[in-house]
Amino acid sequence: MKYAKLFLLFLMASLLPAVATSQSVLQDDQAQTSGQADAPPGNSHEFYFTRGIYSGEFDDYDEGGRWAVDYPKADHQFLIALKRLSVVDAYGSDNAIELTDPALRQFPLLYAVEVGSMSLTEAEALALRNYLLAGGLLVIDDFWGSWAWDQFLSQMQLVFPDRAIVEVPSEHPVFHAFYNIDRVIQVPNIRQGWAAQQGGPTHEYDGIVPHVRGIFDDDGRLMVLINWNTDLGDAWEWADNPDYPLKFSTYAFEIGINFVIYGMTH
Amino acid sequence: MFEFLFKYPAEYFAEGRFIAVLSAWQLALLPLAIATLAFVVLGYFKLRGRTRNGDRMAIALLRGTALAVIVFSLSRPLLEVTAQMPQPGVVGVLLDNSISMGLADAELGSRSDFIVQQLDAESGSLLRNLQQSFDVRLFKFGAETKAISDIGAMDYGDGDSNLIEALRFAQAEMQGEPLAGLVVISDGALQPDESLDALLLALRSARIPVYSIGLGESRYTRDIEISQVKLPDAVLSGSRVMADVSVKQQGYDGLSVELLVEDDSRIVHRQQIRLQPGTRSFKIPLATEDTGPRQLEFHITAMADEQVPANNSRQAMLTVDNRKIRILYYEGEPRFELKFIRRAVADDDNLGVTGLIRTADAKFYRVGIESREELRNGFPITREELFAYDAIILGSVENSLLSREQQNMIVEFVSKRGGGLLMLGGRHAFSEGGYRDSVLQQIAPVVMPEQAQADFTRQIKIQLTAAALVHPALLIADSNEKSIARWLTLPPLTMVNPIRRIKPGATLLLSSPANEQGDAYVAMAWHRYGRGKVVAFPVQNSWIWQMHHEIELEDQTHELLWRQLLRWLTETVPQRLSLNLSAQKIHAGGVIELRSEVLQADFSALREVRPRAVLTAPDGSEQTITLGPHPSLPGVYEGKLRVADPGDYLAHVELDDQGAVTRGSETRLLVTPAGDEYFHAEMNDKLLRRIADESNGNFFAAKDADKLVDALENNDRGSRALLRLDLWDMPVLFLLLITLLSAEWVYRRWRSLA
Repeated sequence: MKYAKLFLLFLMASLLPAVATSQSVLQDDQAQTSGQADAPPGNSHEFYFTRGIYSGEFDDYDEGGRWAVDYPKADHQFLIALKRLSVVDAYGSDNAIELTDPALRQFPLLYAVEVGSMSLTEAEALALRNYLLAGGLLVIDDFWGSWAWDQFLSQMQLVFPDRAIVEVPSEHPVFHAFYNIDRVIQVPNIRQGWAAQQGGPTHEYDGIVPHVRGIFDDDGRLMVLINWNTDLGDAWEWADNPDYPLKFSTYAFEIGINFVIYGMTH
Repeated sequence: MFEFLFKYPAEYFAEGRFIAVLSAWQLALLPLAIATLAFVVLGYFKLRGRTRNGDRMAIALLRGTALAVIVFSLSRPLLEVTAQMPQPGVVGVLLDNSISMGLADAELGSRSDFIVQQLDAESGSLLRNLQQSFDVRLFKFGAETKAISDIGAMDYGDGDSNLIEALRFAQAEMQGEPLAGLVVISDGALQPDESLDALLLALRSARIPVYSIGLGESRYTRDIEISQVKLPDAVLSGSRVMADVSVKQQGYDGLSVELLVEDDSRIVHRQQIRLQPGTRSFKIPLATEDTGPRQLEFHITAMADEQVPANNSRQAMLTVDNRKIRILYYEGEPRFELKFIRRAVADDDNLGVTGLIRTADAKFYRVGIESREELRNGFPITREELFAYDAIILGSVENSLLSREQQNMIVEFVSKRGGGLLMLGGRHAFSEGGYRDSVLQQIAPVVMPEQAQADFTRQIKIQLTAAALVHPALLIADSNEKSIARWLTLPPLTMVNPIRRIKPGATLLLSSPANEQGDAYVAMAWHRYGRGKVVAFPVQNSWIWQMHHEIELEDQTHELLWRQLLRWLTETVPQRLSLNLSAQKIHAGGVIELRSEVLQADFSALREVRPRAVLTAPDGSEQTITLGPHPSLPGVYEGKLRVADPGDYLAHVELDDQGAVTRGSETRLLVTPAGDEYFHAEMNDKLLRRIADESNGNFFAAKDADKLVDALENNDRGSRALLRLDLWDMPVLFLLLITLLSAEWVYRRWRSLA
């Protein structure tokens, strides 16, 4: 317990100086584009944290689309942790890309959030299907409750009509590729996280139990990693906020790095 | 009178030369004799009394001269002279008894008919003419050589014609006889080698001329021949193998024919080839499915008017292994390259890639391990652990992540163990990884730039070199044409290691397009280093060929490339117990040489064991031989077996190991009734001329055979011989000695001396 506290302090200290930088990048990006970041300079880095831009049901009401929740600060802060804690040669900024962009295939790991509002076009479903079958890995995050699950399920059936979604067992390499994660915990958003410290619930809607589920290919390799009833992105984004519980940020960074290492080796 | 006194004719002394042959003891006595002579001479000068100085000098002169004559005789003087001997000359005639003598040629008819016409005991004109001047000895030669009394013993049934052995045999049989020369009557179906050079040297030294009469046409007008098939000894099951088939033809320029390849009578490949003038090599891609020792037959349908249809088929052996190749992939950082290489070979039961990836400082992640202990301590630090793998892939691993000892082990892994090393590009590879002055730089096939360029990044459109067009690992479609077309459409890759030069002896396979100065970046090169292979593939992301949006999902280019590359890299990796045969095909009655290498777990030689080679005949009967240690190669054991009957044999090696028997993989041996006599069946006049020229004989075409007798009669050897004649017993020496001693006695009497 003592060591865990020391680790959290170290993590916090390492993140704080970088947050200011990432925030300035955020302002630049927002000024330049309507959400899409500058294209990365070629393929000189091994890893680009790539966020998927998809069509959503609430795009008209939600400026920038639901795909952009926590974007890009969460991405930046995750990259800072990834580069500090591992030797992954990661591009230091965000990299959002539309599912139908041919360049998507150059980034074999894709992150998408708020998929409860996902409403894929036919072209997007086909592009995503081909991406995953070619060898890409999609990491889903931040959608809660049965309503969002049903919506996501309907979208995944457009992509893979005949593939089951199953629970990823705790002994799966994705939980042990970098950190040994023995238990999936629920990571709340900033508001629920603060409430949790006061003894309040961490869940949203009826998403009480967190799950890590997956869609596997014919050879048993993960194609889609689904983090349901949890919000890793918020934990990354608010890791620098003293009001956000460190245990959630720590867990979110750990499992996020595991996803990257797994995605680059399996 | 001269010959009475000097024993030999005067011309011998004029033409010959003197040689003093002193034995060792004679040489030792020579100083003693000189000392005695001096003592005697000086003794005379010490005489006192009535003797005068003149008397002393006269007596000393006579006695000294007599002693000098004795010393001269004792030195056994010789006269070396080339002299015409009185004996009749002897001629050895060597007749080719191989089955190719049954071939018919346009001018001559059957080659064996010529032998009947010329050498029949009753009607043979050449034999009759030879016998008028010489004592003629006949020999027939094929796989073996025998002396025969007449040509009735010829059956033209030998599957092989060993002319070198025949010449040696005849020379030995007639040693000591005044040999006018040897006559070879053959089509010259023999591949010259080093032993021929040695034989010709010996014949020239012994002054034995060889006269050759060539039978057959030196160039067929209408023939197709599969003159050679080259295959690797062994490949992994499922590998694509590139057969190098040489087709020689005359008379069918431009004709398109079908080349069929059969595996145990099952057609595995058919390809149209266009015949070109002379000999042309075709690269034939073959898929290997069935495991075990395979017998492949390459065949071109014979034309109706072909002169030698029998040489349109050729067999070749190929051992298809079903073992698991173990590959250690060492990465200094997580990279998608590892992920996609593992995916590429995931369905290949013969390839197993174990990944060791540094994920953080001093933190490693293992994937694809076979046991919990495998690579537990990181990159192997013992030879036994490292040498358990067949190949190493070195990714973006900086120089400092491998100790000098580990790098030395990698060098030994390649050079001694015979493993494969594949060096991938990356920001910590090659010069950018600090390898410029490292141990591994020495074994790389590329020259690493002196200066690292950490910020170098290029998108490279990969181009094939000529060597890549026929490289089995780079054939990424069913045919060469489709493969080349596919390469042209592959998307560019990223390169972060600017390498422009390969080392002398290395082969450049892939490169970037050349710039205006003609420079290009190396994208793939390889060379052999000791027993193993080293490949440099300095690109960062070959996985783009799997993931790029222009690559169809069904496309197997990336998978095929990596499977083939890793299989090719490891196809020659030796096993700890192996057996090699001196030939894949021999004729019945021939001898096969077997050589086994026996190695320990660290691939050092295993000494003082007794491996057994077992040859299994088609009927299941076995011939077993215990192999003996090679005189100079540790861990190598060898032996020979004679195989009497034709058939399809299997050979393997066994070794007793702590009560159990370890068995090596099987290899196939084809024993045929005939050898390769129908191949290269045209008269090899070049060889026959060379044998004649270098031994100071003559070559004759069959139509000029009647000139042979004249050539033999008029050569300056025939019955002439090099003689060494003793001179110590010449009568003149005895007469001189008696005269000198008598003169001394008379002088003493005359001068009244004692």
